[in-house]
Amino acid sequence: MSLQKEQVHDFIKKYGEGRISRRQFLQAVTTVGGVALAQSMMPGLRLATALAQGEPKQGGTLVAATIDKPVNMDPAFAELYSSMQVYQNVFSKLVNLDRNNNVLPGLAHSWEQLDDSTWEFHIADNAYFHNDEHCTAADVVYTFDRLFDPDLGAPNAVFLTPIEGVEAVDDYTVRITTQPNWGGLLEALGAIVEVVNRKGIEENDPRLVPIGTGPFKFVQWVKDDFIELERWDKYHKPNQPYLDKVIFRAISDDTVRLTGLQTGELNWIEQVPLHRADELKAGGEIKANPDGEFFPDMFLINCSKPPFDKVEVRQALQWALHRDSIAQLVWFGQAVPSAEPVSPSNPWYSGVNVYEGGPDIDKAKALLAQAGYEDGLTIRYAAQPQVPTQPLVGQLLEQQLAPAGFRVEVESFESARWFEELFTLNYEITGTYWSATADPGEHCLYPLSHSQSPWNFAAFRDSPELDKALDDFRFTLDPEARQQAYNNVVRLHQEFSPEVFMVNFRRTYWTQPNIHGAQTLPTLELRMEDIWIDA
Amino acid sequence: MRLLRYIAGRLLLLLPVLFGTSVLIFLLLRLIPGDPAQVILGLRATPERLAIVREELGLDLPVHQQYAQWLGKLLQGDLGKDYRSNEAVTALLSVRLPVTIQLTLLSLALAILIALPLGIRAAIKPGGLADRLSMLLGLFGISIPDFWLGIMLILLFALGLRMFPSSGYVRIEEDLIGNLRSFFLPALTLAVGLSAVLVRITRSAVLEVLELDFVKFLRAKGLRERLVIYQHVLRNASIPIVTVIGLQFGYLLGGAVIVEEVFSLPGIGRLIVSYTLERNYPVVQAGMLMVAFMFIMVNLATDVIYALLNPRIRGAGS
Repeated sequence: MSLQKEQVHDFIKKYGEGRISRRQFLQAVTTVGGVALAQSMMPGLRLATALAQGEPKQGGTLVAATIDKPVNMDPAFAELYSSMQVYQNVFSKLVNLDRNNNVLPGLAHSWEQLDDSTWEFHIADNAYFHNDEHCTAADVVYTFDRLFDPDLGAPNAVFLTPIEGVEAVDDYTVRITTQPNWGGLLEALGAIVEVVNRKGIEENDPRLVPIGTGPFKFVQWVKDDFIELERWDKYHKPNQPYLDKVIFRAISDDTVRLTGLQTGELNWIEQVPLHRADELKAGGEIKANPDGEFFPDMFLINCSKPPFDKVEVRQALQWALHRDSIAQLVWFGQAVPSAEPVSPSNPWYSGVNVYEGGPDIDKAKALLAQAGYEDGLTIRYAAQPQVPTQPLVGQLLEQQLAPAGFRVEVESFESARWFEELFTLNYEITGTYWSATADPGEHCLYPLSHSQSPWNFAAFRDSPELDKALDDFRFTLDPEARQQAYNNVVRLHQEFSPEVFMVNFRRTYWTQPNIHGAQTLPTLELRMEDIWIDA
Repeated sequence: MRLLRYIAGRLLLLLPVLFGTSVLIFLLLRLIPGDPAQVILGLRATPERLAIVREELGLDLPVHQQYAQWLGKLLQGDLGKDYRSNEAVTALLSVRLPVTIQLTLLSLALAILIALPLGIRAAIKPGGLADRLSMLLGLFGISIPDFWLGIMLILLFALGLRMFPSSGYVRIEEDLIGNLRSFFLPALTLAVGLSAVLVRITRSAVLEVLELDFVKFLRAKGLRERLVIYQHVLRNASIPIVTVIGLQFGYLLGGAVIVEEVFSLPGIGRLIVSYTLERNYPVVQAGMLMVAFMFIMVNLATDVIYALLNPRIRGAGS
């Protein structure tokens, strides 16, 4: 079912005038075969892009430098962001998400919701895997079967637990059945489900050789050196990708990466030294592309043992925290203070802050006294030195929390020790980041804070109120009601504080001035199919 | 013949040394805290998955059984597989080893080219320009950390003068000139530290020999100064110089870790560091064993050169 042109333009007009919310707009899109709407919008969006940057040009090689090296090309094991950055260009997902979390066609050109638990996706009939296998609905079904295979133990399956069945209606139609009213399907499909092919998985080691239907075909991987991808000529989207080749390198040092971009050895880099970001943006020698705060940085708090088993101590920490100075001094202003997983620029942002007006040292002291720590207490902050911001945060915490009575001891653990501290619940408080801003309730707060979640690292189990709020949120379809449910989750989460959100890091991708189409996305994927070089 | 017996004796000693090294590496890795299964699965691990992965990797076995399994495979030429990617460790090492060896050899060559002439000149004319330069190099080279010098060289030669690439690696079979260009800055970074030591050793060794009676005799009989220095003095001063070069080879392998990281070179040092952080035992064990083997072989070569330079050592060795 598709919308009439007039209806399409009516929706666009209403959305543009702010008469309907983004969620209402999306609801209209998704419930009435709205991908047609998205498609009808695309020429307009493309035109705007073209006017701003000129017509996309075909050809060229992009040399991109990420920070960390990839380790695994199998999308079922999305362990590291650095791996996803590469393989997400090799695979296609059923849908994609744009910078504002709008759902766009991916491998599926359209979809509709049949009832509160049934969705149908119509996939492109011209998509081919890089091993020349024709992509059909059977491949989508295989992808889900593989993800749910208990022997495989795909970690991302936890995000898809409400899915009850996936079946092929015909060669190009996939039906997904979920628990009633699950509101997170599209965001999950747009964030984590890359479609694979049985032959591709079985004939090669998928950890080393990724075979998808994506815009780029895997060519070679020289470990610790580079990964080479080349244009897939049978890509199902016409005229894309624009680049002939993409070379991924990993350069850990910010200065070396920046120098490579300045000398022209690199065309695209992930990050510059934070203290130089503003100066470089003003300089114009290199280009800062549209960015976004898609990287929440937070404290995990061990709620299973003293002193943080008492909610008053966790709340005291919240009241003593000065997020603004952390954002300025640790991230050099390249992060936005936020008490929730997303920042104000994100459509999900609730604006809820139970600790509004903080820091308030008196309130923090009163709460500590209430918990029995009138004379203050010593707490251990576990930092990973390989994440440069974490030791700095530790140093700031020592100063910030002292007036309230917290004596902070900063301990450094390299990653293996840090994981051990985390899993054995030996830590008291530690820092981490999470990349799940496309659906922060579903992909961040639920896995971290629901009592039944395997990722509840804070060991915060006694929380029927928060559990109920999280479940209410997950199983709400109406966009307005879902946003309200999210706001409620944020409020309760802040009150219980098993995690404390600190700032949201603004991730910027830097390119040479003649590189166009780069942008930071909430899924943090590097969508190279949109990038082109103005020779 | 005596030299050959000497070399054979040293080679026989290699076996127990390598065995001991393998035991040490294996045990040390298991003594340090951290669970490879947890690192592999990351934040998204569950107790069930952790147990499965530990079993898959054989980490649920007692340590002596793990060692026996590893040694058995090692003797058959199987170094195991990367825990994460399942790639053969031999494949990983075969790509990285040439990078580190080339980097080390180029650094060594650069250091010798810088330090030997300067050290000799400094010894011939104490207090002269060369002597002052050698003192400056000694002080600078030892005081400056590799990572800082590397970044400074990148900013000067790559960003400022645009003479060399800032990072990366060009394989020798692809482009020889490109390969040498990509190695120049990292090799120079390592060479500065090494030449600082080498120049001081060369100066003092040459100075010591210059004061011996036979040098006065050679000069008195009218031998040209160049011949006195390069044919007689340098040969007699070479034992401490060769010793330092041999020992510094180990320093270069260690120092290469940082330089490889700064310049993004896919060498064995970088491999060992990153895989140690992951507790990727098979890769680290094989990498460490390879480095230890190289170090032992260089020490053997050093001993052989001693023996060639000084026949008395041959006798002592046999």
